[in-house]
Amino acid sequence: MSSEQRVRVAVRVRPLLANEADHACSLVAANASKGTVSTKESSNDAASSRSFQFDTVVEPEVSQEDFYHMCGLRDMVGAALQGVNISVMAYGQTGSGKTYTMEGTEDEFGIVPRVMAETFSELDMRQERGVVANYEGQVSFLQLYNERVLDLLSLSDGKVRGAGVQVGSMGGGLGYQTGLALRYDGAKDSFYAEGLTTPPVRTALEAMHYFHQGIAKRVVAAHAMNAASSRSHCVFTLDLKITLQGKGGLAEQVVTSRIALVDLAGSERASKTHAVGAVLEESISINKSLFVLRQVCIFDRSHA
Amino acid sequence: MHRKRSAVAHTKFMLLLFAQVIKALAENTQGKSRRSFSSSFSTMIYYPYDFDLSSIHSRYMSSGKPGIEKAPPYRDSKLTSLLKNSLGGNSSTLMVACITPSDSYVEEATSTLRCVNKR
Repeated sequence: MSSEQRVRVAVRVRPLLANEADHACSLVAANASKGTVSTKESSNDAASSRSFQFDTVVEPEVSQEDFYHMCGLRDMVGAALQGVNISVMAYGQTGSGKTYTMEGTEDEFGIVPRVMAETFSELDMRQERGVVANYEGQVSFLQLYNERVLDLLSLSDGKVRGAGVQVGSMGGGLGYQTGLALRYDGAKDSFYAEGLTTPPVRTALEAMHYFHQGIAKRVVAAHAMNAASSRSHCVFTLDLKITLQGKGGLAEQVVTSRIALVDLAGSERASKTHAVGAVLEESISINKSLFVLRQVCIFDRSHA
Repeated sequence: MHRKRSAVAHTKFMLLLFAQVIKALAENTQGKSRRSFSSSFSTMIYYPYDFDLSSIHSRYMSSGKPGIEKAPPYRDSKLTSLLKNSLGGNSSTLMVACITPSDSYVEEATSTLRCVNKR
């Protein structure tokens, strides 16, 4: 890790799409070497200019692979194998490239496949070298929609296993009847979704198989729910339990860690989208969770 | 006549009850102040997890900044509850803010940048 910072922020500017080729791009200026992004409200209004400083600024032409390295994800995976819980979260308005960054495309892998590949190849290498005696992994994939936890790996189509909170009028359209209940685990000092499917995985390929299974399920929900994918948070986790080979007669040591890869819901404001009713309810719950997330991260950062 | 006697009995009963309550309170407040009793009680209700295990908390305690004398509000949303151990304790987080370069979305870009801005 480059420093002791626990929360780092990278800004990625996406390239213009083909149908946006005629859009002007004079108001947002990214400077990768300085790590700044500045914006202004109109091109001849210097007073509205604002500059922001970040740990990493990534310009539009940077490839997925370079992006991965620029953000220090390799070091993060390394830390995860030492027992650090790592998380990557993509934040931004709908259509800003969050999903491209996390999932990528068939040719240009995003963060999720790269992190999975790196984790398991590193584990295999360490096992070959005799550093790691054994490892176990298990994945989970959940979607948070209107503060409801939906299991994307659940095999049943309609109902989510483990009857939890009864949902309101929105439940039917999404094809889910129930959300999972959140429980507190005192021993681990953490929260978990009761009844969440957590299949074991041995390889990156297996992990990605479950990831795509979840994505497929999310797309189905999106169809019924009008672009639900961008209106919900998706959390993919890989839990690792690594048994380290005992050195010099010492006993084996077990290290556990979690890798959480999160595609956050679109951050656009409710007032801008003129939302009412159910859509407004969505926006409120999205904004609330993003607000809390920000509180948590700022809290962390301001005391780093 | 009958009614008056029952009123007396009632008063006696109430006095007895009052004395019991006072005694219980006195026992509770022995050794520690009542304030700390009630504050530890509210901590138990609202934050059943142990702060001291989290380095965030200890870091926070030494910061001495007024106005934010609380733990990170993980419980305020399901997202942060689920990510509690990924955001606090022994963790490392990368937030990737995605923005669009087009001038048509400059407001959204500014809002995104402002949200993740370092301060």
